[in-house]
Amino acid sequence: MDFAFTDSQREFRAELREFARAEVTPQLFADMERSGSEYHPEFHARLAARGWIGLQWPAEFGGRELSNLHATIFYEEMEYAFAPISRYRTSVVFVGQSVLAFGSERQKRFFLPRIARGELTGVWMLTEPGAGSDAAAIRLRAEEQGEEWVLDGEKIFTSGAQDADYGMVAARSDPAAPGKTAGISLFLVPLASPGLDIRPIRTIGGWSVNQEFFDGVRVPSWLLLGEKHRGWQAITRYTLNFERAGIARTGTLLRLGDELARLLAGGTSASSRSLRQRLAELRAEIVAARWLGYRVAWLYDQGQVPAAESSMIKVLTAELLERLAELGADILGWAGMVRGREAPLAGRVEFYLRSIWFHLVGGGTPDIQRSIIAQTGLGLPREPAPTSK
Amino acid sequence: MDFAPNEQQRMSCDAARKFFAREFPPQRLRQVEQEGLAAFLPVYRRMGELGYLGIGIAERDGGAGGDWLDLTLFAEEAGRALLPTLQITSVVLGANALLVLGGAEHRDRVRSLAAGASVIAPAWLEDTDESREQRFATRAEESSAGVTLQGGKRFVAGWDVAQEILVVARRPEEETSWVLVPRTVAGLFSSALRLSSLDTLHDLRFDSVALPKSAELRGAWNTWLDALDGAKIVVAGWAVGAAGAALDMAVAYAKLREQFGRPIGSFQAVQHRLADAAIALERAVAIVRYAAWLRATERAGRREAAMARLVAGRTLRQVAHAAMITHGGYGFMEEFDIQLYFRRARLLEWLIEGPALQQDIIAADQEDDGLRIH
Repeated sequence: MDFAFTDSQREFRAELREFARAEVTPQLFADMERSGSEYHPEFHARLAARGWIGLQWPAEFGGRELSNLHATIFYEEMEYAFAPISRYRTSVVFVGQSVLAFGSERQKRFFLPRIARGELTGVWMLTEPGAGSDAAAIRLRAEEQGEEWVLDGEKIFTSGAQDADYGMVAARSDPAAPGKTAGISLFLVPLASPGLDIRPIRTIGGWSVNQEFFDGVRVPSWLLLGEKHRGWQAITRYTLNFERAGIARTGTLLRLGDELARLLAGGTSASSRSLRQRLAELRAEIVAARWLGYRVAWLYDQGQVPAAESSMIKVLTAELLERLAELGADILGWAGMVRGREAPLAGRVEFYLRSIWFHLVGGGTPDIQRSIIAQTGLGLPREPAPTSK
Repeated sequence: MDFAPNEQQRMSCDAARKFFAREFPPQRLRQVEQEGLAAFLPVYRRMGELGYLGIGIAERDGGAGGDWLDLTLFAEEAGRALLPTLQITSVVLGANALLVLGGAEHRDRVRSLAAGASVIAPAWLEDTDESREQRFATRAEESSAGVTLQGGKRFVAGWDVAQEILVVARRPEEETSWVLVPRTVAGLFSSALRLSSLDTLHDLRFDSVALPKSAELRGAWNTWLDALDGAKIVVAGWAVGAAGAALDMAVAYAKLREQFGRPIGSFQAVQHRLADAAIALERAVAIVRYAAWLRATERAGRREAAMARLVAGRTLRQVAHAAMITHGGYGFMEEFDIQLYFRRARLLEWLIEGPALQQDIIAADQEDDGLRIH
């Protein structure tokens, strides 16, 4: 057992910090507010220019062959600066990592270098109006017609589909297959495809998500990702775990903890002592979560895909973010309800409380994560399927 | 970075687990609850012979070698077995404090403590809020014969089997000193306090206790705080070990126990409660081992020791509670083992230092860069 960072990891951290200090400017946030998108193409291009997209990938696909721990350090430092990296995540963690784990050689050669160069971004399209927590209840239909697949149906709650290039779509390719987890396939669909209608859904959290309507969308066969009809197996083995482990948020938590400590510093009243103690307890939990996060990254570096631990880190950090923002609101009082960058902490306490649902629900609700932990981690029996009457 | 225990650590944890299964099964714990710590001493001495008690103390100082991480991993096994915490107070705190305060002249004492041949009971708490300030009512005053002790200490662990106590006291010139007091000395009075765990603590009163000059140790206050930091990490290891065992029991019971025609573990309410317990446990193990590693590698870690201690204590209480509820009515039957864990959870949250003080220590940390690494 050894918890030391290597020299390479330390130098990388320092480099990231220097970059974030220079590049994450108030202008960036003003730009995003104006465009109404949490994607900042110029900032994304600057990350690509540094060679930081696809850190863990092989060099032949444009990657840097670094560890998942390096990737964790990258997220921490970027989040600590509040840098916009959600599109980075969907492109690298969901789409890129899935292509690397089970894509064809041709797909790897096409997608990974383009993602790494920042020329192509991707999003993950799983959820449907009738397939939320019951994610395998997919109805979007994919029919094979010669050298093409034809997709018909709907997806919902897709972050970033409005200005991304490709969507990784889960579709029902064999409706006759026994059981809902059989007969699902994955496709890498150009979002500019004819017949694909992308409509924004406004949320209370500032950014919009999307609903997509597929009406005879034609996808060439080579964009079938992974084995035909065995998409669910690939998703549950890889993609969903990447997704949960990849949204660790510890950088955001550490930064907000520091900011709240600064707000409370120097107060001598009984209430400020009590608030400091609540903050201290949360910061202890945050550091504990940070080290659990490192362990999860390390497990991935050992070639494992730890399903229960990935769910743990997801639900733990999302709930810590909510509790920390709640504490921030208790500290700030009325000012904690004020919107906008003029408010204390640039309005972040208000923003995180209003948009916490992205964190809690995105990547699977806390309820679903707990069921995964109980069933795959603790080995508790699944709930029996309802008997048909 | 490497989260896997090395070969040596794996082997010694495995050996310790087998040792406790053989030498300290729950019926032995129940015997200690009935008869007191004296009934534990045979196991304790055996632990001394095997070198378990001396882990974390260098061989030249009378210990068994190994570092704080080895000790903490061992503590996880001891906690799983709900071993009485005598090692923590007598050796991890007591012997280590003697080494840093008294130095070489106490090596024989340390050797005897690490062998389990003798026991020392550190006594530092008084009837005030827990704090790290030097504000003791107990006074050590110079006299013609040496030093005279006046005052009292509360909640002293291990007194019933100790040959000596180590009393933290105030000198007239407002410095702190540590006084070694043999249990047979005149003017020393004790009264027993029975805890919900059925452990016995003692309140001690010193009525002009006269001791030779050589009984008094002097040192920097910070060395004592550092010894407390070390002991805290070991209690935290004990706590996460106990939490792991409690969770295992609850999971096993949830798979076995059937209601409404199916195992209760298939109900979401039960699954989610145990999932929360599992999350809390994994997170606590992560920070406890990290804090132990920081100490083993001599990196600064006062804040992390406090964090580990706080999180581990909270976690044991949460996990024990979840495990009790999972057992329903059977959980609070004496015959079932899970109640043994529940009754010790708060003890392991408070031993050495309690949660409010940990919050103060963390809050007092002046560093404002949460991302910093060691």
